Amino acid sequence: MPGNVESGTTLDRPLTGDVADLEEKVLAGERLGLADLVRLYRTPDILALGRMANRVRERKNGNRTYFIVNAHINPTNICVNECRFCAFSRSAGADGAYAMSLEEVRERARALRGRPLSEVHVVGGLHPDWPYDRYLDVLRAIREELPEAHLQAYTAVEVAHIAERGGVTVERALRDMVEAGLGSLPGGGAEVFDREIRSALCPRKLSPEAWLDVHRTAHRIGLRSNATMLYGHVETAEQRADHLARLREVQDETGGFLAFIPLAYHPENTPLGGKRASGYEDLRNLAVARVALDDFDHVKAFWIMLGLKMAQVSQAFGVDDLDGTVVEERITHSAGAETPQALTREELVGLIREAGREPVERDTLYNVVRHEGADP
Amino acid sequence: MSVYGRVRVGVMNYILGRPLVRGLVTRRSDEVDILEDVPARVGEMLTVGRLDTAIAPIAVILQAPGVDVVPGLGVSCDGPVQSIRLFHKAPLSELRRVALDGSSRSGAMLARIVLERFEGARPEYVGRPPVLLDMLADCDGALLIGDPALTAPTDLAPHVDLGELWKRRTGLGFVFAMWGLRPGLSQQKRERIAELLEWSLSVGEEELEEIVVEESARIGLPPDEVRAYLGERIRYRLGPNAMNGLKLFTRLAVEQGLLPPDAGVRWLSSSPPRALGRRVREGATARGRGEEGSLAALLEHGNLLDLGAAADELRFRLHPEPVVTYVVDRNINYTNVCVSGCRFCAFYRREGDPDAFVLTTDEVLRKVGELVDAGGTQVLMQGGLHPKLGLDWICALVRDIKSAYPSVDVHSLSPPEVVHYARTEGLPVRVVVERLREAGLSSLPGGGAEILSDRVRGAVSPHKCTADEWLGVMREVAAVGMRGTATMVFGHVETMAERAEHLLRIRDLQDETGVFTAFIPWTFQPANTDLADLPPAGGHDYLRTLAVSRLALPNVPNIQASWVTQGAAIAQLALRFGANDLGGTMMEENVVAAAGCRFRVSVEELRAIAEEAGFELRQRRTDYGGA
Repeated sequence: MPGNVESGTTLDRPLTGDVADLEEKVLAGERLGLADLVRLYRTPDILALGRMANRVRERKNGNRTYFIVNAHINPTNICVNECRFCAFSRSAGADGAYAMSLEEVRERARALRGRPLSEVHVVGGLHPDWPYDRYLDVLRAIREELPEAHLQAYTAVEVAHIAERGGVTVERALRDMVEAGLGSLPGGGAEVFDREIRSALCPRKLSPEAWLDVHRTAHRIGLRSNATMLYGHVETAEQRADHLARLREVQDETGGFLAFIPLAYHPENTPLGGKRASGYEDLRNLAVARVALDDFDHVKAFWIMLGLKMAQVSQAFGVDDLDGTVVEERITHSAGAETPQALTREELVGLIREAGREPVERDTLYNVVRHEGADP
Repeated sequence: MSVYGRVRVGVMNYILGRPLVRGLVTRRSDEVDILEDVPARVGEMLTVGRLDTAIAPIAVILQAPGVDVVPGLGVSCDGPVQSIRLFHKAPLSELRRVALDGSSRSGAMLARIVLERFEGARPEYVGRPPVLLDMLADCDGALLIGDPALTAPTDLAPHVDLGELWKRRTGLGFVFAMWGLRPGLSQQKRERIAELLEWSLSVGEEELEEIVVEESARIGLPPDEVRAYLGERIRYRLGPNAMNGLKLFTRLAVEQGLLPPDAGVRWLSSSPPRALGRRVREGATARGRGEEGSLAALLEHGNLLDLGAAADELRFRLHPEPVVTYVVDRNINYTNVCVSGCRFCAFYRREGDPDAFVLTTDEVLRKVGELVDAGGTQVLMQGGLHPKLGLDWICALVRDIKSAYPSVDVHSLSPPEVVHYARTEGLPVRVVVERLREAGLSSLPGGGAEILSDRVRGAVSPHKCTADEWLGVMREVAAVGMRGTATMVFGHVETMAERAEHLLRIRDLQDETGVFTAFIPWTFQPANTDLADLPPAGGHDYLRTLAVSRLALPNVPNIQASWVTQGAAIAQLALRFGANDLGGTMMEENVVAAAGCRFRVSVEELRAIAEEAGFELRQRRTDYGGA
């Protein structure tokens, strides 16, 4: 049968693609289009991706690699959304379901006192019963215990849920949260913006338009936020490219995003199952994002997701931020991340220095807390 | 130079040939004779031995017995090329009669694959001189190749650029021609020619602007067009994208009956691209003091991506095909009793310890049997330096394995074990190695090299053989006709200068003996050892050291990635930082019933790692030949 080799068995895996022309565009500071990004997602020339991403990274952040001393509090894992890629959420009453009382949140925060924390990161499930004020009280409790720490709390998905619980607009909810201590929004819940994927994997989740609107609104009232993409499940190169392009559009408009963080899908203990993306895919997603999002200052990799060796290498593939020394973190670990749960400051600084970068401790807004210098 | 020493070089009479022979034409006319003709004629003259070397069409290269091919160089495109155009008066799928210029068979094959395989056309083909008007007089399709395609009138009929079409359908590059070497040349002459060709092209690249001016005047095309054609569209250095394209083209041509089933490229073996290795080292290390200093500087400060790109280039020169190899093997530790007491070792025991053991012959044979049943080929048997087991004992064990399983490669022991037997038996190393070879040892793994510096060895493994002793064993291994591997365990107490010294000592011995099949660097694993307080070397250090190793050792054919110490993610990256082999599947010692299962899972993982990085995974034997 005459055939298009593309559809036959002869070429059923991703093919090599030369991307020298795109490398030139990036060097010249030109913005890449959707088709360009799709090619970057498909090329196995990982070294070319690294060169491009590194160029943009060094243009924006020089030789610095940022980290933050922070802690995570996940107040509940009870969630009404039941996204198929999530290993963290539980239905109310299910095995392993938990919801911290306000006093438990307060204790958790109190236990962090005395540490040189600059940020507390708070995300959790969409609890079916918690009233509006409960979410504000969580913020107040943490702020009272840790008045110096910046509170980065509630993804856009949670913000929309909380607003709905309170019967108020997103803007009202955000203003109330700021009053209760909120400093900025994390970037979770973006997943992949494509409609088909969302109806297959997370049909109940906030729509992409609404997710972007929460961030727009936040930016308008002066809050900064992060953005993410969940990769390595069923999404295509085109859908990834589209996701980045939509973020780039909002950022052009508001300039309110601080960092983009590609999140690898961790399949263990999720209804969706499947395989964890490879090292190539991890670096590719970081590098393509760095090249695509020319209006974002930072691309962040969670070392806890990548593993220490890959996190170190990622600094040559567009990453300028390795997140933090994490005191407690639950979400990735439910899905089988095998990295240690916490790293000391010395270990993180050493890891950055060994890659030839200058470790810089930052606060949430990327103000320098302490510049460690290139070499001890 | 005598007339008998002149090199006869063939090149196609298209402008795309000019950069390839620039150096030869302008600087070596006393040494070479150059013949220009249409590609098909040049290829024919090579196969009949009237040329020593020629840039021959791949149609010839792929089916010329005895013609070796110089890796890394050639003529290719990766998208639109302009010099291979198919003019058509009807839609491609409906063409009935296509005129082909008989001067290029490779181009004709590409046209037939595109028309028949991609477009579903079934035309008749007729040979014609490359004059478009005449061709289209009685045909509805016409293929032009080379300069006639570049200068053809484009208003007679619509046309497609086959380089562009191939790229669109496959995502790959297309290789038109490569340098072939006539059968019967001495190895020395082949290598000399390969170096000349490499050098000649680099002159062409430097003098591209002059070529553009000359050729644009000669052929009557604007300089900008000629510059874009020679400088961008035509690619003279063949990377993985081109090699993957060649692989696919070969398969499609065989499937379509255009090439015989055994079509393939025979690469010039051991074409040590010393010039490249040297260039990279010198270029990257201009600030260093001697070579050792400059290697150390690379290990300390080299830019990771630059080193990766250079190592990747060298890797593809040495192994032009996008293939990654592995061996199915089993580690058998015949005893854990050891007198060495190395500080980094978590495995060994003293004689009399409750968990000390020595395996019986039956136990060893059972393990080898399981390996063979699982499709394995290599036994990696290593033990402690047991104070009582003698040379006769180990030779008998090797002999028993070989008589029970003659097809298995016994890649076992290590230089410290050989030195240990020599000491305990009071025999010269040569005799020990000779007896092991006679017993059936196939090759000697390079374990125990650690860092070949006596200061470092004194600090971490004071009772193990010295650096000179280690190298001495390998020298004797070469002398008795065996081969072995070399390792490096880094990231403990050594300095970068000592790492560099290690690499240079391996390279020197390889220059002297050629004993090493592969170099295997891995990072020190501190857990459960006396040195547990050392931080483990990171992924960055591993990849950088791997890339520097590839560059420092252009004379060692293979570099192994260590997925066992680095994990799958870093091992996958390593394939673009100089490594071309994933080592052994390491069938687990203690996994018996589940061994088969586990082993299959491992190979599947290795395959996934390789394929996603753009390589085919291929099983090999201990000597790196096919399994």
